[in-house]
Order: sequence, then C-alpha cells, then structure tokens
Amino acid sequence: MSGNLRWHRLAFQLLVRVAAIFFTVLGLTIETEIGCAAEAPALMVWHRGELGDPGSLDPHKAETLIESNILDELFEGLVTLNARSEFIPGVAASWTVDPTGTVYDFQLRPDAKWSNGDTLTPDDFVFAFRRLMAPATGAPYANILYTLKNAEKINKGELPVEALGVRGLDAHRLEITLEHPAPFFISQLAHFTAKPLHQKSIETYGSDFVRPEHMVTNGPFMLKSFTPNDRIVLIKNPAYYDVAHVALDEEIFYSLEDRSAALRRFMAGEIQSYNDVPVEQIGFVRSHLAEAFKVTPSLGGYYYSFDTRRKPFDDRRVRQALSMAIDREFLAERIWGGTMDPGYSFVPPGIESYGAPATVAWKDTDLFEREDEAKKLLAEAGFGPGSQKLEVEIRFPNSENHRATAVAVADMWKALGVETRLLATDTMSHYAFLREKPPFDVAWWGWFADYPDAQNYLFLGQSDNQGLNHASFSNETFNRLMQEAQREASPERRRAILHEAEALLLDEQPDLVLLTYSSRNLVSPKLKGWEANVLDNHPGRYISVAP
Amino acid sequence: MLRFFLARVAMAVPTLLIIIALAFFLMRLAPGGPFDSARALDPEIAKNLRHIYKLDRPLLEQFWFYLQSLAHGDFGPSLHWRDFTVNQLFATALPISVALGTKAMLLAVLAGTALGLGGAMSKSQIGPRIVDGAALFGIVLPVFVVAPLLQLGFGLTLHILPVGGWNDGAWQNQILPVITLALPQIAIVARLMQAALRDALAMPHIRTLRAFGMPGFHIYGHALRAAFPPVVSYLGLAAANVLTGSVIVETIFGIPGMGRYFVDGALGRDYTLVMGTVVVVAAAVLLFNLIVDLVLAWLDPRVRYESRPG
Repeated sequence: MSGNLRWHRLAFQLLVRVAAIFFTVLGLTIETEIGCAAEAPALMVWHRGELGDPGSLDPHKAETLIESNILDELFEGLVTLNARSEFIPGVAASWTVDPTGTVYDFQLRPDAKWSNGDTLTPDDFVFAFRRLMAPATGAPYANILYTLKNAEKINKGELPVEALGVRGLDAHRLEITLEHPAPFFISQLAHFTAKPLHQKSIETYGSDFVRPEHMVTNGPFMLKSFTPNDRIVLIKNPAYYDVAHVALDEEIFYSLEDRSAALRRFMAGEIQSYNDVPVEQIGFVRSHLAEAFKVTPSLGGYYYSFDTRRKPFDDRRVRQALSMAIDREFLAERIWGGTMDPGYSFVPPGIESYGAPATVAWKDTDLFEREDEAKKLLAEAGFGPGSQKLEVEIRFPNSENHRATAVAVADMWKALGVETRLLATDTMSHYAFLREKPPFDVAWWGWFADYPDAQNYLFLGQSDNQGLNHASFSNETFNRLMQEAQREASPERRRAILHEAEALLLDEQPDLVLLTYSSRNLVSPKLKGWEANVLDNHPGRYISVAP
Repeated sequence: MLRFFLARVAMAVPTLLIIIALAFFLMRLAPGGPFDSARALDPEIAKNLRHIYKLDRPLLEQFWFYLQSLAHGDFGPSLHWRDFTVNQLFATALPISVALGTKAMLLAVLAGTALGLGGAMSKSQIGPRIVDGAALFGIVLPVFVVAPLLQLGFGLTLHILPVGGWNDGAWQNQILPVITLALPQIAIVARLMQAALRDALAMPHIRTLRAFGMPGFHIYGHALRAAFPPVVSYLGLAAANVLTGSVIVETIFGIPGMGRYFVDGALGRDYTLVMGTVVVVAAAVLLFNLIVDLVLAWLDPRVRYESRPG
C-alpha cells in the first residue's frame, strides 16, 4: 500500500515538473511581451479582415479584388475613388479632352510626392504604362488599358514601348492619346493597372521592389511588412499630399479564408471589418450582429452560359424557355439568404453612366404563366411530352452555394420535363474548362466589372472576345452595336446604343442571368467613415476608429 | 550502428527521388494551370506568362530544370505568391509550424504517457476504462470541431485568449492551436502507452522484479522501457505530420504555417509551391523514420543485433 502511495506521489511530481517545463517553453516571451505592450503609444489602427492574401503587390502582376484593395491604399493613380466609390481627381489635379475625345491633357498636382520624398513626375506614369505593356513584364491585366494608343500592338510585341500614346509635356503635364474615344477612360484610370511606379527603385531592385525595405509608394499608406497567410501592415505615408486628412496610423490586412473563424474573430473584436459572411450563418448574423452587417448591391453578375455552338442550345427558344422557368426570387432569398438579388438584366443595376439597365421582357410576368410559355417554346423546339426529352448538364465549381443553386435550378427545370445532371469540379478545373471550351451544355460563371461601365459587361457577348464569351455567342447585329458604341463620343447616344445591345442579348439569352451579387460586410460600429457602395471599395484614407 | 545508419540514409535518397518524380508528373495531370482564374487571360498574355515561368518547355525538360535547382537548394519562384520564392515562404512558415508542432508533440508525449501510466497503474477496472474512453473521445472528435469550440469557449465566452491570429508568435496565440494539435495525439499516445505498459507489466522479467520485492519506480522504469517501442514507432510518423503543419488548424486559427501552402498550392495549381511542400514533408517523414529506427535500436538491443548483417 505504501509503495502504491509513493508511486502516486512520484507520478504527480513527474507531471508537475513536466508541466513546468512545458509552460516555460510556451511562455518564454511572456515578460518581454508585457513590457512592450506597456510602452506602445496609442495608435489608430484599422484591423481589416480580407478573404485572402494578394498574389502580388506589383500592380502589373495583380489580378484580384484582394490585390486591388491593398494597391489602392499604396498607390494613387491620376484618378481615384472616394469613400462612396465616386471618381475624384487623384494625382491629376485637372484634365482636358480634345474634341475628338482621344487626347487627354492631365495637369498633375505639384505637391504629389513619393514616400521617400521624391517628386512625382509625368515620367513616373510614362514608365509605369510602358512597363505594363512591355511583353517581358507579363502583366495579366494589360489588356484593360488597350484603350491607350498602340497598347495592344506593344503588348503583343509588334511595336516598341516607346510607341505608346503616353508622354510628359512638361514637369507637371501628362498627355495620353487613346486608340478611340472611350467615355469610360477616366474610370479606367482608377484601376490598379493605371498606377504610377517609382522608376529608380524598380531599376535598382527589379522584382524585389515590392519588399517592405525597398517599396516606394505614392498613396495614403506605405508598406511596413507582409507575412503571407498572416497579415500585411501598412502605415501612414507622411509624404502623401493629403496626409493631414488621413486619420489612421496603421491599416492591417488579415488574410482570413475561413469565413466562420473570421466571424468569431470579428465578434471577439480582433478585426473591425470583414468582407464576407458564411452563408449558412446569415440568420445568426442578422439576429445578433444586425448593426454590423451590411448587405449592399454590387456590380457582379451570376450567370449560366449555354453552349450556343451546339444543338439544342443554339436554339433561342430553348434558351429562353430554360431561363423563364427559373424562380430567381427563390434563389436569392432561400439559397443565398437574401445576400443576392434576382437577376433580370445582363448589366447589374447601379452603374450611374448607364442608368437603369434593360430587362428581360417577362420580368413582371407571373411565374406560372412563364412556365406555360416556356413549355410552349420547348414544344416548338421539339421537346416535351410525346416528343424528345431535353437533357441538360450543369457544370459549376464545387461549393455549397453553387451546388444548392444548381439543385434548385434542376428542380425548376423538372417542371418543364427537363432532366438535369449536375457536374461539380474544383474551381481551377472549372476555369480551365471555360478557357479550353470543350463542348458543354450549361456552365456557371461570374463577372465583376473592372471599371463601372456597361461596356465592361456587354463586351462579354462580342464574338471576338474569345476568352470571356463563354457561350460562344455570335451575333452580327450585336457586334455592330458594340462597335458603334465604341466610336460614339456622345454619352447619351452611346448609352442608347448600349441599351439596345443589352436588350438584344437578353432576347437571345446566350447567358442566363440568375442573380446579381451583393457585397456582405461585417463592419464594427467603431469604424467611422465606412460607406456602403456598389464597388465595395473602402479606402483607409477616409476611415477612423472610435476608441 | 554506423553501417545501419548509412544504409538507411542510402535508402532514403532514391525514395525521395521517386516521390518527387511522382508528385511532379501527377500534378501536371490535374486540369487547369496556375494562370487560370475567373477572368480568363488573353491567350497572348497567357502564352507570355507561361514563357516567363518556363512552363512552355517540354515536361521532361521542366522536370530536369526542377531537379537541377533543387540540387542547389532552390525550390523556385511561387506561381501564386508572385513576390516570393518558395524558399522565402518556407523560411517564415516552417519555423512556425515546427514551433507549434514541437510544443504539441511534447504535450502529447507527456500528457499521453502520464495518462497511459495512470491507466496501467490503476488497480481497479475503472481507471483503464476512463483512459480508454477519454482517448476514444479525443480520437474521434475532429479537429474542425475542437478548434471552433475552443475559440468559442476561451476566446468569445471567457475572453482570456485570442480567437485567432499569430501575432508574431505571442504565447497567448499559441495555446489554443497547440492544444488542438495535441489532443488527438494525447489520446493515441495514452492508448498505446496503456496497452503497451499492461503487456510489459505482464512480462516475465517484470514478474521477477516484483518477486524480488523491488521498489515501484524500479519496476515501472523497466516496464516503461519495454513499453516505449510501439509508442516511439507511432510518434515518428506523427511528429513528421504535426511538425510540417496542419491545414485545418492553421486555417481556423489564422496561423501562417506550412500546412496551408500544401492545400492552397494544390488548389491554385502553384506547381513549385506544391513540389516544395512535397519535398519538405517527404524529407521530414524520412528523417523521422530514421530517428525512430535509431531510437528503437537504442531502446531495444534486439533491433540492433537483428539488423547486423551476417
């Protein structure tokens, strides 16, 4: 008995020692941590949760919205966005356009500076635009600025970069010449491809110019550190011309892929904003975080493309019938928890220069009538009871919401006697599929505009847009309208032409519009200056944090 | 012993090469490439990018390039994290995963051994059953359930620990991830230890020690030595896994470790990043197998004699 007791004591002592060693190892830094915390001055910091990390901080290697959000803080182009996502002058103080609508003369701010104190000159823009178009740079988004004179030819190696229609006129004037009039050009200048770059640091450090120790920026913030999968710390740029109105000392981006974990961190106050919400927890968020939850219509479309190269999807009646039978309100409310809007137009509503978009003819028709009409159309096309059965396969990238949407659509098509199969692949395989375009029936895709202009949606239906016209839609009238719009200098006439093109696209339905996206943000009430807007763009320049 | 060691190392090199070759070619079979995205690139631009990253060369040539740079310790540029080389990514991520993994394994060994010992020492039937039950619970409870529960409990309800984030490795940020990583290992080690100890305690030499009236710690010291080999065998593989990062734990707690690169790399078709993680994990597995063999040989003289040729 006494042996047993001794044993227990020994085991207990062993455990205590082991625990002591363990916590010593774990807590080696405890004292220094506490010491540091006490000394730190009170900085105003925005802890900003994002869906992931930027692939690159080089504006010419960037591709995604995540990158765009950070680049907008680091760099400022000729034009920039305010808190409501309205275009305002950035580095350019003012500009004039010649009567042909192709030559722009920008007057730069005399007080525009780089974070190292260098003066920002027109040459910095010339350098950046030439680098963007140089084939050796391999800029994935170079083609957005094919509006610049000779840009496309330079990017394809047919002309030297010096031929680009961008040049400095004097120490503060920049002239940009376009291929053709483009009323949306000013909005393109806020895109990350149109940022200036600091020539000297790129020439000195090459692709390493993005390292915190080398990076020279001209926006409201500069880079302090970048730890992949962890956080990116930006600090206020003292050389920024409007620094007096920048309240934040730091802006920290956290890469948070796990939406549920991000929600918990938001609730714990570790982050003050996050740009998504797990759809399955929408109910909880609405009831517990009503004040912080912001759902705002955004400029994104959710589409199903028909392969119009193939029977029976080359038949307009089949496409219309399948589109009419879909209860978009059900999808938006029940599947997406009210965080999407039913889609009846090809261009999402909310583009100021375009006004209200065109809509499908049957938008206000009752769903039951639409179903009857759809059956009639299918019968005309040779499908239905007593004749051939229509079979459709929907391809989509594998995710809960895409799957639930496809299941619901299949169920709605069942009412027409259509048999639907679902095929989910991983996201990259899906995008590769869309790029390679083997024959298919119906395939999902989504689109967020690069700049808020109807042309940036409607060009998806042009037959020469092989990479993005997933439906392989080919319609001469539509192509002609798009070309007319491109040449048209009058904004009113251009808008009318684009409306006509959209109406045609909706009548043909090569792409079935299901929904339009909304942004879903969690925003702490402590965050001041955060304004909901269609581009879901929230520059730190206008943000402050209440204690 | 040296011959034994050298023979194992000689075996490891071709094994690693085969793994690298398999991973390299299998990955290229997956549809899509690193430059596919929601916005399909202009074909001309995509061609240009493939050229810049030498992805337009024949596959065998690419493989040869890869082996050459690998021989120089260069994993190449990451195709997704375009501002970083794979070496740079690993230089920050690997120490973090190793730091968390080491603490978790240490905790697992200590707590698991203590539990196993407690169970095996218990005179009644209840002790071992409690250990078995608790261990089973630890094994079946998935990490993606444990981690959010810990976050809810310690972070959101009690407010004593951060819900997530790495915060430059502050100790508060490490506690929940370490516990999450350690729990299933504690459970397995406790079960293995308990079973092995019970077997060991029934061995003739232990009975002899008891018969001589040796003190308890003496008996258990011998029993532990006899019980360790199966536990050590398991720990080798577990350590290789835990030290190279867990994607679930890292994603839920927002930790910038190695585990996320494995999955992110594969999903994003970041070929060089995937190859890098494969090499690191394979090397870790081989290394820990070697360590296990050496430890076993040290613990159990029979292993040494059996492996001696002739």
